[in-house]
Amino acid sequence: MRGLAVAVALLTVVGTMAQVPLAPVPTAEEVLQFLQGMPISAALKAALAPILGAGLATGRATPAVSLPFLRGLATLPPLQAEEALSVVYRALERGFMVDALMNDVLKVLKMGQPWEAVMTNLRIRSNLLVASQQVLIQYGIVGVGPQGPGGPLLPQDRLVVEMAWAVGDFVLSQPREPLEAFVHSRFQKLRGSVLDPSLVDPLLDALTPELVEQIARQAYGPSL
Amino acid sequence: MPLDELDPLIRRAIAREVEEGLPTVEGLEGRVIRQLAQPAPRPSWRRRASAAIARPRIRWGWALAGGVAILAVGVLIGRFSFPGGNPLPPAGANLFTVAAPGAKEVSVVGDFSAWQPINLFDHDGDGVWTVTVALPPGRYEYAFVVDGRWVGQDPLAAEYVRTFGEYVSVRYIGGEGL
Amino acid sequence: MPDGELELIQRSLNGDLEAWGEIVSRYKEAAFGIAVAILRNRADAEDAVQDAFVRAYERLDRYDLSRKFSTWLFTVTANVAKNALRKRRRDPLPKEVWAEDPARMVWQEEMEQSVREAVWGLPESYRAPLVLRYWHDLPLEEIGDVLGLRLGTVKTRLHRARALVRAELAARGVIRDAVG
Repeated sequence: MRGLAVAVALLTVVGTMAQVPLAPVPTAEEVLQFLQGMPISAALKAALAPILGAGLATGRATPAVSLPFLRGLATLPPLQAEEALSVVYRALERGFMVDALMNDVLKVLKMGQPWEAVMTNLRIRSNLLVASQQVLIQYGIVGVGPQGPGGPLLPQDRLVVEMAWAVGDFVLSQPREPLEAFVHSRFQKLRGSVLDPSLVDPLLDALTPELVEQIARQAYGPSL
Repeated sequence: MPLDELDPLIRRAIAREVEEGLPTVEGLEGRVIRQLAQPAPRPSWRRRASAAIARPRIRWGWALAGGVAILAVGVLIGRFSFPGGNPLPPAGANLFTVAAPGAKEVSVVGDFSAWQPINLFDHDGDGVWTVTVALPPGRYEYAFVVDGRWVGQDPLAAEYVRTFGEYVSVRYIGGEGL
Repeated sequence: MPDGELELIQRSLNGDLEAWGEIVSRYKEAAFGIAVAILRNRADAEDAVQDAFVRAYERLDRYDLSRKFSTWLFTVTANVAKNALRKRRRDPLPKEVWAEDPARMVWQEEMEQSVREAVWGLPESYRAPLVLRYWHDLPLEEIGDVLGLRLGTVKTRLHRARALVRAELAARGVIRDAVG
């Protein structure tokens, strides 16, 4: 319903400008149906379907990202598709929002990177989610942990994603400024556009170098 | 240094490393029980997922036909969704433009389109390609693809993120009052 | 046997998954320590631990009650982790994909940092006994049981591991090593 109303509003705006046809927004059912048709193991589908269904129902995954993600994986060797799906499955099972994970896979593929790079990136982003959540809980910036794929989606779940991405982007970009300054600046920019000020301000107040460094340490660990 | 003096250091080095990793196993009981409770045969994909992978041949055949641009607000953005049924903020048009004289095909890819190409157009043939994408408030990563070439740095972008030697551009689209 | 453990095992044998969940809860951290000692990577270790508890449950009827339960469980974990390590070795991960380790920027103490790197940079055959000794505090015989090594081998590996760490520290100039 919401999608339809907004699509109509968009038609008015866009139709007068770029003159490109609108794509219909996929439904959760289409996503799950596509999953069933994928050339991957039956056991994986059986495991993933309820988790993904719950995630789609609560907004942890959106159909507009999930369907292209599955479509993209379906063109790859099944082993690779399963490898990527297993990481997203794990993250979703723990209740994380996974659109960003799925988008990142599509992004790295679109850049023409080899599969090892796609998976390395995906695993590290996933580790960053876990680490961010742990540390933010430890510092009292967010409350309880994620509620599983079917639990209520909380505003703090978005905070965890943005923190994970800020730290990860810092490592990738290697800017001159220190980690804490980079993360602070990121959240300043997100404030008001992606994140409500009432959500971001407590984080900005509590942000310290120790906090973000701990996230980085926990996420990167002794691996590779 | 005698080995005895080294022992407490080794002990601490190990303890720190292992203990920092312990949060990883939070909730493990639930995951184990869920896996055991499934009627389906035990997933072998967990083991297969760590198998050696051959270098992929990426097929771009799923690129959206006809320059499809706009997806509905709020459901498409990689990192932007409201829980529940909150009314969505009004959409804002956003111009994506790149100078590419002589190019045959120009598109923008970004997390607002799940990295599927959205075609740009140069109707008057002056080499300036444009498309307008209606985007709600949020942070968006994107890049241009000009005749198959990745163009990651848009002068209009607020920031760049370097990924695997390439760039992506970033825009922040403000909410109400910002 | 620890408090109530026999009952939990018997209930698990009867298909009571909640009882098994309780066992997982009690041993998951120790199992994780073993897995990460072998695999060195937390995500892989977590996968291995989950697999190990699933496998242990499926093979519970083969557990010999006369053996210490934790040893048996740790053996299963070590084997699962070693298998995973073998498979991983076939597809090496790219080295410089994530160029800078941010953790390096933050550790102040050079010594602690160096020891940590030296320990975790050891080959798995030395690292695993070291972790079982210094973190799990297992007696040497049990380390041998878990890893499938003779007692003499365990002693040798432990001694050699510490010597290797010391040599690494000396090579880095962090300590003076007259012995070499």
